[in-house]
Amino acid sequence: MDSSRIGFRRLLKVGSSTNPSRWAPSFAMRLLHRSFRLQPWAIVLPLLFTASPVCAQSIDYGASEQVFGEPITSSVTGSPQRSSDVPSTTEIITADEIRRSGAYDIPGVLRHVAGIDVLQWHSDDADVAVRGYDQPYSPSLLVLIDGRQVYADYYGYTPWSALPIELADIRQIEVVKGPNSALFGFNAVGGVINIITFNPLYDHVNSASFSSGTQGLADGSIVSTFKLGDAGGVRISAGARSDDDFSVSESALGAGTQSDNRAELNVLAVVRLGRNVVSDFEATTSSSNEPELSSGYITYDTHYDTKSVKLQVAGDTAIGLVQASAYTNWISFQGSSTIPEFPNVQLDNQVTVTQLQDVFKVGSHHTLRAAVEYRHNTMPTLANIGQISYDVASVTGMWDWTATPSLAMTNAIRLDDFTLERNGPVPAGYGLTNAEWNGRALREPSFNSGLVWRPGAADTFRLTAARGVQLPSLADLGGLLVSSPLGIVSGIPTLNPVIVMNYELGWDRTLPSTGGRFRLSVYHETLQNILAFEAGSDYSAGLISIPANIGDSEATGLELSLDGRFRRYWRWGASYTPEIIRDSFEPGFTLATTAVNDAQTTPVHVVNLNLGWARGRWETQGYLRYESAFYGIERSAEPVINGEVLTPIPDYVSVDSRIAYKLSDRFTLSLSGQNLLSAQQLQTSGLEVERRVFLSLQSRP
Amino acid sequence: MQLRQPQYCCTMIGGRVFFAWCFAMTMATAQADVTQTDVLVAARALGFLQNPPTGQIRVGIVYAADVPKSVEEADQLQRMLAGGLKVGNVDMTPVKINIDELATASVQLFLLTEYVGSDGVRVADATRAEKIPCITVDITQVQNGNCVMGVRSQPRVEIIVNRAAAAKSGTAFATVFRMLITEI
Repeated sequence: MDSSRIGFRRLLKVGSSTNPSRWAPSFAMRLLHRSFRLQPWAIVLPLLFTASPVCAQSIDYGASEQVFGEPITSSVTGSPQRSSDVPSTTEIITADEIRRSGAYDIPGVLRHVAGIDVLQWHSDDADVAVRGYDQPYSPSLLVLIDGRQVYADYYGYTPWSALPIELADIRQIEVVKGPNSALFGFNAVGGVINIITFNPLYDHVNSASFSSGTQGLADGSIVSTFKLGDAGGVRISAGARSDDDFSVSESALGAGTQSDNRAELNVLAVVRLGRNVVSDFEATTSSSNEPELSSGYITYDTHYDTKSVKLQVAGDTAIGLVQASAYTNWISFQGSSTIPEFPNVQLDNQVTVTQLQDVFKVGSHHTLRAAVEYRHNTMPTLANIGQISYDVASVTGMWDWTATPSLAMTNAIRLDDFTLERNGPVPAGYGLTNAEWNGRALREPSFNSGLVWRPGAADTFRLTAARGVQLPSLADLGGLLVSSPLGIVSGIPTLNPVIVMNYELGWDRTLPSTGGRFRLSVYHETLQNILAFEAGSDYSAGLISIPANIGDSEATGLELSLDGRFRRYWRWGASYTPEIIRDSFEPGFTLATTAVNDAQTTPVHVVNLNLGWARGRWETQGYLRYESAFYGIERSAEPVINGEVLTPIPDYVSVDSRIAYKLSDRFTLSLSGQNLLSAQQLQTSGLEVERRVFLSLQSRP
Repeated sequence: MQLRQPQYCCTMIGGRVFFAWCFAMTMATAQADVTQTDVLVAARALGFLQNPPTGQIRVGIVYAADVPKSVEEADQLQRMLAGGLKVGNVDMTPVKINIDELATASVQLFLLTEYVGSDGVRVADATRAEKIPCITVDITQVQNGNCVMGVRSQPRVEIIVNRAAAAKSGTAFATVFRMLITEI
């Protein structure tokens, strides 16, 4: 234990420089870079031979939840915690809540959660953000499945339909609000969604479902687990869906010409390598087609192919919970512009991430976490001229101190060391050389600090401060490269990351009389160096359009929620989440040149209500969401590059509902509806969202 | 260094006493008779032992025969566990044990009733001698080191483990579990 602490301190001794954006990597960071670059998977193997046979198990979420009567999460500090103890405003959506939501995809589940914004651009294309700042290709929300990033680094967003997962795979969706870069690194700035799936070692899931409904919806999925005795288990999941896009209505953003469809397969094998060591191997693949709104407010007909492999070994050893993991994601994207002036896009992104962490207790009151991570991320430029890549080596430390049974303090810090690289030719007339990229380095710290005070059994107060870092996407950094007769549209290597600072005060009070909870959170967040995709130009380098850091923004908001049960069969919930955003952009950067206006494109007032009832074989649930009037962004017809304008979105109320009848112990028939109040409703600056109704038959023992 | 050692010890002991007092204050509002949920939480927590029991085990409900409230609670526990309690891979069969007869008890787990008072130290002796874990809802017995684990399910599940008592009885918990509970 001592040795690991000393080692961690040494790693933190970084090189010094007067220019923080050009710091030379320290010896430790260079060592980290070299070690992992040579053998990115080698980190996993030593644990197989070094874990001491003391006691080991990866987290058994189900058993832990049964003991403590509440979900367990490790998405806030990296160490397992009860959801009511975490130093962050966190929502955990359980499998039961997912089922009752009646949704057929993850954004459909998330739209009922307080503090989450969902922009539904097309039938299966949605962008999700936490606490405002939602936009096409929303970059500030980091999404992971069992800790594996599914956020697409090349453009900085999450392609929800291409995620290789079925709703029936999911044990819980953990929504961490605010920055959590100290645990997850770059891009965990607006929030983190970590989707935790059922573990075939502990959980028994056998589910099949089929849904059919309006918009030509046909959706089927199968999830099955197999036990390998006490030695392990396997979970196999597959699903497919097809449906039609919303009917074409007036929209300057264009409409897709293709239908939506997706298919995915994922296999997870969990094997006990000994009484104290567990190994996970996961392989996934998915394919999807859908109309999709890009960050430039242009609709593309898109096609995704994704693949991933992941190996993880976890052991409960003499030095704590040691976990080593390595994974590689491959994503291939093809986009056909629905606006003739814009080119089609094809790109391939590969990211390999290797992590090693140790979580251990010192004495009774101190939990510590030390971790190192290395990632290599690469993509060819859009015109396939050259290749952009970066490497990030990271060290992380976390200290959770239970000062008294009612007072705990958590501090986590992370240092990310980023180096950018470009190789291959550059197009004619390009004023930049590969040297511009290859000298680019960044070293950014991030932190999360929290004080949790529990003066009695019912009340929990949280005071938190955090710094998060959002990295420019690979496209922003040079992956975007389009030659046109007017000049070149390109990403550039000199962008700065977005720095997010968050300060928050929260109060939770359990209400035993109603079996529910009252929650109040007040927060203030500042964003520096906001990125805009096509905001600038560098004519001296022959670049007519480049991304730029356009200025700052700040948000102040409140989350007020209350839920409970009554008369045995009823449950309810209500939330009100007002938020005010103020933008402060540099002179010369306007909506027309940046396509960014966070202040006016975020609704100030959002109300969520839900009411559920279950008795015997019947179960029903309804959701109502109100959003006050705000503005969407439209691309004006001329000029085709830049020239965005605001368009008003009137306030609206939407209602989702599900009613289900249990035909037998195994089969359930349900009727679900989304946006039930009107056949078509304007919710974004894109296509009007349509009413959807679908019938589902589910088999689950 | 020799002079500072006692100071350090005093600080450590003082800190632990303060911590235990704080925990007692936190739990004070939650004092109540043992409930079925308390027993279920305790039984489920056994699954997080490094060497969790499996199969049929005998649970000794330890009471003080000369304390009516202790006898009453033992009877209550006996009724709760009547017919056996199966949780996970464990099937628990209750057997009442007068605290005077601990030495002859043949059980795999002690369930200590409240109101035993200073006699709790006799459970500690048996726990150490026989390497049998002890669970109770009487948090004071955990703070005193007489019982390894204390459990309360209302108004919020609270589990407290005395590390010294656990070590002496050879009871060790999975690291994940240790991070979810209060240790003293």
